[in-house]
Amino acid sequence: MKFEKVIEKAIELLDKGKSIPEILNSFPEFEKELKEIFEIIEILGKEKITPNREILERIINQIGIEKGVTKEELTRYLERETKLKGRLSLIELIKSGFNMAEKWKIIVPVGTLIVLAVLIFATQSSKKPTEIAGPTATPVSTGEIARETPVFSQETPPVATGNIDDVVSVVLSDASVEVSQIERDIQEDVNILGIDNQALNDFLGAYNENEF
Amino acid sequence: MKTNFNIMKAKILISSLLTLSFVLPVISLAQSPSPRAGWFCNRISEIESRVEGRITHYQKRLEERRQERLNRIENWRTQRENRLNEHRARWDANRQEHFEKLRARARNDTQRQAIEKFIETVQTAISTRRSKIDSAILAFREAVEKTIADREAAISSAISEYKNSIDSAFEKAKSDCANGVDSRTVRENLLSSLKTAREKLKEDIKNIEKLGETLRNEAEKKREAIHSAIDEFKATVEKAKEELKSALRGQ
Repeated sequence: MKFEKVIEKAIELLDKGKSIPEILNSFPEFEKELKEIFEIIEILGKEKITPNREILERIINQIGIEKGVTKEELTRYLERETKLKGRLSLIELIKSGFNMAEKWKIIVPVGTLIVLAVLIFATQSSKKPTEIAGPTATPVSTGEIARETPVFSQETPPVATGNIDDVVSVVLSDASVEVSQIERDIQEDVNILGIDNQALNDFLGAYNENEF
Repeated sequence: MKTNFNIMKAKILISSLLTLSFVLPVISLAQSPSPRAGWFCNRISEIESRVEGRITHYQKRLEERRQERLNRIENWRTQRENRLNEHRARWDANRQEHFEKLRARARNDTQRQAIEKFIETVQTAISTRRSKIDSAILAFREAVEKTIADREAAISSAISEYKNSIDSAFEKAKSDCANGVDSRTVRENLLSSLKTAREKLKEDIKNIEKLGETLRNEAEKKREAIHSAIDEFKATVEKAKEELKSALRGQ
């Protein structure tokens, strides 16, 4: 007898109220495997773990069963069994797992591993700092200039109205924009002076007492 | 009997010699410098070349930084000039549109004259302001150049002195080693000289950083000059505005 059939039979016997030792005695050649399955069922039963209904519905829909699982579809085997004995749906899942075609038993775990590997790789890649190419992208130390080029002001002058206040406002805005930009330029010049601070301080580490 | 006595004397002599042969090396070893201290004199040239290598590397990096500063300043200047010219041209064109609309409001010659006077006053004020700002920019640019030159000279001098001190310290150490000075003493003296050189460089760096303070003060002066020019400009424009308004009201 095939192992899948044995599991099916064993679970049927369990449902009928047969004790586990009795079932094991009925299939001495699969005793070890069946014991493991019953242990899992027992643990899951104790922990009161029942599969989420929505997840079950989604899985069933995804695997292309003709009719989706709905609240109304009480005639559906899995649905009915779940309603009657919450544990049975899990058993059915286990059964379906064992009944899985041989190729899927390989494809599913391998596929899962590949997906995991891709996810890990993607996560690691996103953590890497962005490198800036080009000769002017040399990292600068604290207190040094971080910006390469000055900001260009592109303020658009207001539309002409002929109003005296508007004319004066335009004239004063022009001056303000110009001065703001010049002040930024001055600050940049002040900051650029210390661009060699780190390089200069490096000289202090020319010798190391430990190597003497 | 005499023969036995001679044999005994010989035995005592041999055993004494044997004892000495074990004891003497131990005594002589205790008096010589430790192997570690001796190792220092043997490897002094290697240590020196390592220190020199580092200094060469730091000098290269310092030069790269200097060049980077020079390039950035040059690029900025071109960009700033272009930007300022573009800005002025854009706002000049816009202002002319405003002036044209204002001129269109004149209902009689008196109003026309008042408007022209206002426009002329504003134009003159703008020219004056720009001229002052341009002077401030130029003066600050010169201050930046001077500060950079002063800084580079000060750095070159400090590094050169530091290097010379290190070279002298190693020369002295090598000479002491060659003259049989105790290795440990040589090492301690060298370390002390290097430490002194380092402290001197630290002090020099502090003074070099003060040059930055000078430039910051210079920048503050320029800001004040610019703000003063702006305040003056605003006052002139506001006055011209009130005069124009008054002239238009009177007509």
